[in-house]
Amino acid sequence: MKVFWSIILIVIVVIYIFPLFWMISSSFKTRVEIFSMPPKFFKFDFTLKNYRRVFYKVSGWGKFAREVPSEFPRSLLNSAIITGFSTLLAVILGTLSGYAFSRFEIPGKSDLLFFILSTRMLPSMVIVVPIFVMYKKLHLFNTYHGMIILYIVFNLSFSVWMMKGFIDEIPKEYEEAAMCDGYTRFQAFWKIILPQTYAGIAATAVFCGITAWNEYVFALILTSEETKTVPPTIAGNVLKTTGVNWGEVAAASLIFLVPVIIFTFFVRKYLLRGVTFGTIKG
Amino acid sequence: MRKFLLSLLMLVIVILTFAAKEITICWASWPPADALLALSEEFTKKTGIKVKGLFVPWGQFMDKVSVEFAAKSPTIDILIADSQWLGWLVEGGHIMKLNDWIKELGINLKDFYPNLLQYYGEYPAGSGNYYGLPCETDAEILIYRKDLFEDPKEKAAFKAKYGYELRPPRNLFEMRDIAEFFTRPEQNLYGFATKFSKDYDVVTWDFGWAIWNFGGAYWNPKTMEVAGYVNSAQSVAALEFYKSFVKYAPPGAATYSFDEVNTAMQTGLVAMAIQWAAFAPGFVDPEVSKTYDKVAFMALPPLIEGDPNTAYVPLGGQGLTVSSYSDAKEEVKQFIKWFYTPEIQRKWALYGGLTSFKPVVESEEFVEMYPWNKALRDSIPRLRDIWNIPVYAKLLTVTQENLNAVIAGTLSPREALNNIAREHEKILKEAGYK
Amino acid sequence: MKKIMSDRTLVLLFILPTILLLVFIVVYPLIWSLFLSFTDYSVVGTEKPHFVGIRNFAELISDKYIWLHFRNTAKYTVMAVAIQFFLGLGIALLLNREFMGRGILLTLMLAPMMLSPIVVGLFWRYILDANWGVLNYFLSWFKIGKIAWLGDEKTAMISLVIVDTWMWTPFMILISLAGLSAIPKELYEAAEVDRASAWFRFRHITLPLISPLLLIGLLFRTMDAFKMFDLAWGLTQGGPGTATSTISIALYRMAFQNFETGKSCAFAYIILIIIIGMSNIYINLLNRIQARGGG
Repeated sequence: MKVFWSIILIVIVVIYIFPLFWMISSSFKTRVEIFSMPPKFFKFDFTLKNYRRVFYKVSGWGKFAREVPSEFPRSLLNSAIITGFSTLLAVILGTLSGYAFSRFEIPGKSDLLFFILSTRMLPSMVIVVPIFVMYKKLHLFNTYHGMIILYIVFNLSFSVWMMKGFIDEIPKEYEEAAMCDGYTRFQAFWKIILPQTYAGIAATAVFCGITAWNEYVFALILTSEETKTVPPTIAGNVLKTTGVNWGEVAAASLIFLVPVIIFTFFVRKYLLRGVTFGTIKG
Repeated sequence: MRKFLLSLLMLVIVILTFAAKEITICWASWPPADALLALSEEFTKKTGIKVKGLFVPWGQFMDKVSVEFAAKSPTIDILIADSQWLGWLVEGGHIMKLNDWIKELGINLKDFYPNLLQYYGEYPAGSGNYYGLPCETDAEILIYRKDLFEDPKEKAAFKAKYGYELRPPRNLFEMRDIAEFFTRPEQNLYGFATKFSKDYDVVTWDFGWAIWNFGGAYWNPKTMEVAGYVNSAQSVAALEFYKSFVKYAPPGAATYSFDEVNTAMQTGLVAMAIQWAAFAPGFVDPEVSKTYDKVAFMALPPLIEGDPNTAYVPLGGQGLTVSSYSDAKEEVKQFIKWFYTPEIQRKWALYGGLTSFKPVVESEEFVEMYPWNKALRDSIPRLRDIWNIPVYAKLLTVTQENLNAVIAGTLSPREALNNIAREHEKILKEAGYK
Repeated sequence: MKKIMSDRTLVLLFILPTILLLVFIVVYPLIWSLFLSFTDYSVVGTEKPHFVGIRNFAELISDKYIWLHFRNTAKYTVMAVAIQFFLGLGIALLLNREFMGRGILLTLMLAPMMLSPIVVGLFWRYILDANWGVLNYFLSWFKIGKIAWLGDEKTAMISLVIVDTWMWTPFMILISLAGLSAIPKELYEAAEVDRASAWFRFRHITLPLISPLLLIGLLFRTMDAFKMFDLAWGLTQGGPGTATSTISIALYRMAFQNFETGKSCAFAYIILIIIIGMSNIYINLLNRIQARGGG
C-alpha cells in the first residue's frame, strides 16, 4: 500500500517539476533547438549564449551587429534596492505595529485591523490609476523612494497581521516580569519580545520579499528605464523581431529566481514555524 | 587669480552645457531601432552630439509616448512615429511643423516619393504642411520557401493538380492555390501564415491587401463616409476571401501577431508568410532561422495581374518627427540635415533600415544589398495607408475586434463589416466629423 | 522606575507610521479616485476633469462586456482555487511523513511559487504552444491531436487555470503541511488503538485540526485569484478575444490603453464594492465554520 502511494507521489512530483526542468533545459538551447519537434529533452547542443544575451544584447544586424550592455543588470540593481528597502521597512513597521496591536487596547482596534487587512484585498489595478496620477503630480513617478513607499504599503497588511499573530503567542507575562525587574516597556520589547519573534520575522520577510521582488503591475506602470525592475524588463523583451527567444526568457527568469531560492534556503527552518503560528490566530 | 578661475569655471560650464546636449530618439524596441542607434554613432563622431535611444516594446510604445507628451516632457527629442499617429500628434500640438527647417536645410522633397511624404508627414492631407519625413518605410511583403517551389517533385504534383506551373504567385488566387497545396498537417507543414491577431493594428492593416484589391475600402477619406464602403459587396467578398486562408494556416493562427508569423516561417512550419519587411533580416539569420538559406522575398501579388487598382500594398513603417517639447532642437536640426543625405540614407539601408530615399532606392546597388530590397522597391509605389485622424484608435479597436472575430469564426464577414460600419459612423459623428 | 517614554507615546510611535503610510497610499488615492470617477478625465488629455455625474457608472453597468469580465474572473477563481485546495491537501497528505530527500523535494515543489507570475505566464506560452509546445507533444503519445491551448477561446480559460494551479498549489501544500505538522501524533496513536479506519482518522482528527489553517489559505488564495493580473497578462493578455479577460485586465486596458481615466476609476469602485461585499460574506462564513468545527 505504501508503495502505491509512493509511486503516485513520484508521478505527481515528476509532472510538477517538469515545467521547471523544461525551463532550465530551454535556457541552454539555441533557438533552432527550442523550436524542434519532437522536443529535445536530453540530447541537444548545449549553449550558454542565452545567458550571455541576457546581459549583452545585439544591436544592429549582419555585419553591423555588435554587443551592447542590456538593461538587465540595471534592472537587477533596481529590483534589489527597491525590494531590499521596502521589505526591511515593511517588516520593521509590521513588527512595531503588530506589537502595539497585540498588547494594547487601542480605540477602534478591530476596525483598524480589518481596514489593514482589507488593503490586501484591493486589486493593484484599483489603486494604480489614482496613484499614477498622484505620483506624476508629486514627482514620485520613476523614483526609488516612490516605489519603495508603494511596496511597503503593499506588504504592510500581511506584515502587521503576521507579526501581531506571532506576538500574540508570546505570553504577556514575559514583559511584565521584565518591567518589574526595572526594564522600560521599550526595553522589554527590544530585549525580551523581539528575539522570540525571529521565526515570524523570517517568514514575513520571505513572503514580503518574494511579493515585492516578483511584482509586475506597479513596476510596469510607475517606472521608466531608470528605476524599472526585472519583471517588466523581461516581459518587455519578449517581443523581438527575430521572434521570442524562449531560451533567453528562461535564462533571465532563472537568474532572477536565484536570489529568492538562496534567501529562502537560509531561512527555511523558520519558514514552516512561521507559517503555522502567524496564521492560526488570524 | 580669481578672475582666471572664474573664467575657467565659466568655460567649463559652457563646455558642459554644450557637451551635455544629447538627442533622445524614441521608437519601438526592435532591430530597426538598434540599427538607427548604431548608425547614429557616425553622427556622434562627426558632430560630437550624443544620441540616446528610448526604445519601448510595441505593445507599450503608444502608451509611453502618450504619457510623455501629455506631461509635455522634454525627454523625447525625435519620435519615430507610426503613420497613423499623425493626426493626434499634430492636433495635440506635440510635434513640430518642419516646413521651415526643410527650406533652411535645403532638403529636396523631390527626393521622396509623394505618396510616402503624405502618409508619413503631411497633415491634413493635401495641405502642404509637413510634420514628419519618411524614416522607416515598411511594406508587407511575401516570404516564401523557394526550396519547396523549386523542388521537381512538388512542381510535378502541383501541375497535375492545378494545371499550371508552380511558381511565385502572380495573383492572389494563385497564392491561395499554393497555400492549399502545401497544407499538410501530418508533415507539420502548412501553406500560409499572416497576422490575424486582434492586438494593436495587426489584422486591420493586414486585411488591406484583400479589401483594397477587391475594390473595397475602409472609408472614403474625403467624405468620411463609412457605410457603403467598408460593408460594400466588394468588401464582404474580400473578407470571405481573406477568411478562406485560415484553413491553410497552422492551428492557433487566429492569435498570430508579428512574432508568431516570424517563428512559423523560421521554423519551417509554413510555406509562405506575409509579413512586414522590417522583420526580413530575421528570416535569413542562421542563428534564429532554420530556413535561413531557403527563403525568398517578393512584393505581394495583386488580385489581377497588370491592374494597378487591384495591386495595393499595406503601408507600415514610421516617420521621423520632432517633439515640440524637445530642449535640443538645434541638435535635432543637425541630425536631420545629416540623416537625409544620399550617403547616410544608403548607410541606413545597409544597417538594416528601410529607406525610401529616391536616390538610394532607385540605384542599382539597392537591389543587390539585401534579398528583400527588390520586393520593397516594387512595393513602394503601391503603398496605401488607412486612417491618421486623432480618433483612429477608437476606429481601430472596432475593426480589430470584428475582423478577428471573423477569423475565429464567431462572426460572419457580412455581420462583422456591418458592425464596423455602424460603430465607425457613430464614432466619427461623436468626434464631430459629420 | 524611570520611564523613558510612556506607553501612550510608544503605541503612537509604533502605529502612526503604519497608519500614515496607509492613508497616503491607499485612502487618499481612493478618495481622489472617487472624485475622478464622476468626471471624464483622461490622463493624456490636456483638459481639466469635467464633472459628468453618474454617466461613467451608468455606462459601465449597462455594458454587457463588464459582466463578462466578472464572469470570467469568477469562473477562473472558483475553478482554480477549488482544484488547488484539493490538490494541495492531497499532496500534503502524501508528503506528511519522513523519507529521504523530503527537504529537497519540498524545496523543489515550492519553486513555482517563487517565480514571478508574469514570467510564469510568459514561459507557459511556450509549453502550451500549439505547434512547438511540449504539452501537445506528450498528448500526441495518447493519440490526442494538436490543441491550440491559447489560440482557441474554449481552451484558453482552462489553460489559465492549469498554469495558475501549477503556480499556486504549492502554497496550499505549504499551508496544509503546516497544519498537518501541528497535529500531535498521540491523537493518531490513540485512534489506532481504537482501531479507527483511515477515513475516520482523517475526518475526525485531521480535518478539524487543520481546517482553521486551510480556511485561511482558502481566503488568501481566493482574494489573490480574484485580483490576478500578471499571470493572465503574460499568458494570453486577456485573449483570444475576451476569453480570459479578467476584471484586472479589463481595468488595465480601460485605464492604460484607452486612457479613459475617469471611467476606469468608476470601474475600480464597482470592483471595490463587490470585493468588500464578497469578503464580508466570506469572512463571516469562515468565522462560522471555524466556530463550529475548530478547536
